Amino acid sequence: MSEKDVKGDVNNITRRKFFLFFGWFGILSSLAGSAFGAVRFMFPNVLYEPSTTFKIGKPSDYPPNTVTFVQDNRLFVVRGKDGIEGIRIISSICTHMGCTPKWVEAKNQWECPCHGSVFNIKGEVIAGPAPKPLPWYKTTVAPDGKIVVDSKNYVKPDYQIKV
Amino acid sequence: MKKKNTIADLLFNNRFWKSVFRHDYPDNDLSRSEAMTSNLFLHIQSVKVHTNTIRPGYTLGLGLISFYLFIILTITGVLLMFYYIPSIERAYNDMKDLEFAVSYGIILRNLHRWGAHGMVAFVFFHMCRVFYTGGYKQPREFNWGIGIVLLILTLFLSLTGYLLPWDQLAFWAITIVANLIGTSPPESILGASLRYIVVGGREVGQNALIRFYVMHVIVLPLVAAVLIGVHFWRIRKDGGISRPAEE
Amino acid sequence: MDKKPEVVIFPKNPSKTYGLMELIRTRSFQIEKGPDNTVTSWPHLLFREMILFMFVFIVLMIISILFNAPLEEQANPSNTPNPAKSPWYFLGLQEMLSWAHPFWGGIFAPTVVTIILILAPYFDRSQKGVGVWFAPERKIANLLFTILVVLAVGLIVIGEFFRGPNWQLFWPWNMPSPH
Repeated sequence: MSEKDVKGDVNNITRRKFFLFFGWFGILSSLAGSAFGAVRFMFPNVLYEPSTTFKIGKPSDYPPNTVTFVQDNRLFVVRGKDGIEGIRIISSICTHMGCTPKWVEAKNQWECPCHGSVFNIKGEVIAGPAPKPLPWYKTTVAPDGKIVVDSKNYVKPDYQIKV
Repeated sequence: MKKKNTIADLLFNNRFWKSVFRHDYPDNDLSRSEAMTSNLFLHIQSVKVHTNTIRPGYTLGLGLISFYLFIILTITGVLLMFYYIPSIERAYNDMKDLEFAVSYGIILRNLHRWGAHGMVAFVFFHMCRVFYTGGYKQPREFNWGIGIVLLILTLFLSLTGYLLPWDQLAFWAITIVANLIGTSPPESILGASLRYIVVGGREVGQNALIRFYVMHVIVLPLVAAVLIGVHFWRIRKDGGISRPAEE
Repeated sequence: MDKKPEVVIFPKNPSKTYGLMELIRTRSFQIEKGPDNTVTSWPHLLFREMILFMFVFIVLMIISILFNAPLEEQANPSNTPNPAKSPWYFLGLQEMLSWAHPFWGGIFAPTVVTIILILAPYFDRSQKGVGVWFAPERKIANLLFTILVVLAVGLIVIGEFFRGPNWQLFWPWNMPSPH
């Protein structure tokens, strides 16, 4: 064996390490890329869900001093309760696990059947495991006189539309 | 072997049978071991087992019962798939059809539902048996871990399964599960994306149903089947079912 | 011609120090009783397994013929049943959900219990009492596990029999009928 071969061996080892590094880098990065793609694939980009802004009829549909459940949009229309005269909209989706609390007129509160959360007329939690109060939705009146609810915009409990 | 004119001889002593089962009827040690080693499905078990293994009072057959329920669930589940369509408009009506319009449909659905309840119970009982007999200890600690994972898989299979009829139970269970996952901290980042990926959107609906369906009929059963295979194989590799030390 | 050639079945190999001496016809001392208290899987194990399968299948079939699987009303997003109960095996989880922030009862606690269970054999390393039901040498481990089992079963029993409308506690004999 000549001196050149020995030197070549030394060079080969570094070259081998170099290729080993790039081999592993290639395998791992392609695995990571595939995994990222697969996870990203599971997040849909287009949703065919109802709009979060919708109309729920005219203020005159809701008599004074009542709490009305609107099934299709999963909210309560509160009119003239808690000393506030106007119409206010509160979510009917329990902040705990998403069940629908029931309005109990006699006790002036909402009670959730799933895990026993209770909300007072301000939407605040007064019993049970719910972590947050029921949100009040931002509400406006459209030119045609109908109530427009924006269920992505939360407001304070005293936010109202005058009737 | 000399030919005798009996029905058994006609059935078992011909070229076709011999091509499938290459050994004689297992009535001596050699053919008994061949019966086990030459069969793909039996060879996961050893040729000989300790007498403690076949003592009914020791294992109570709990693990095997769980496995049998899994087999029954797989077969009935595949049959149910022929009539069930995972669509929020049709799923509930398909349940009613299975009950009233499909021959023996209700029996298959009952077998599948009660079998699932039984599997949850028996996997749990099996875990208790293994713990109370000390079977989880070295060298079986890895197999014990696989067993725990199989228990959780069983629970997830049940969960994804009872969502499919799209009745009130199903809808509110999906809703609760989705919101529960959504509380993983940090809620606004991890919880929200986990909820989005599980529900397949913001509201519980068609996307959620098809996701749970795919998990229930292929992803989870496949993972469970593989792990069950490993679980059985490890029993052998860890020296058979646990037994008292011999003097 | 009259002398028969001797047939050598197993010729002696001069390069080896051993050879076949004689073949005799007798029973092996291992027939029907293997070493170390074992029996052949066929038929002792397999027949028991087959009988157990038939038993499981028959019992399940009888249950399925006698009782119909539950099916509630069609899904209705605007009306939550009261009380909304999961199947029995999740009632313990549902019970914990109703106590505190859902993350702790619904995700954190089950995950911790699972991890503890998986890691148990790495901490409990004594080999005493293996293979014996309720071995007295394993009192502490058995006690801890029993606490876990009693908690799990107890929560399920509370959820199934003691929780009524609005997830409030009732005695089973005072339970209001669902509406």
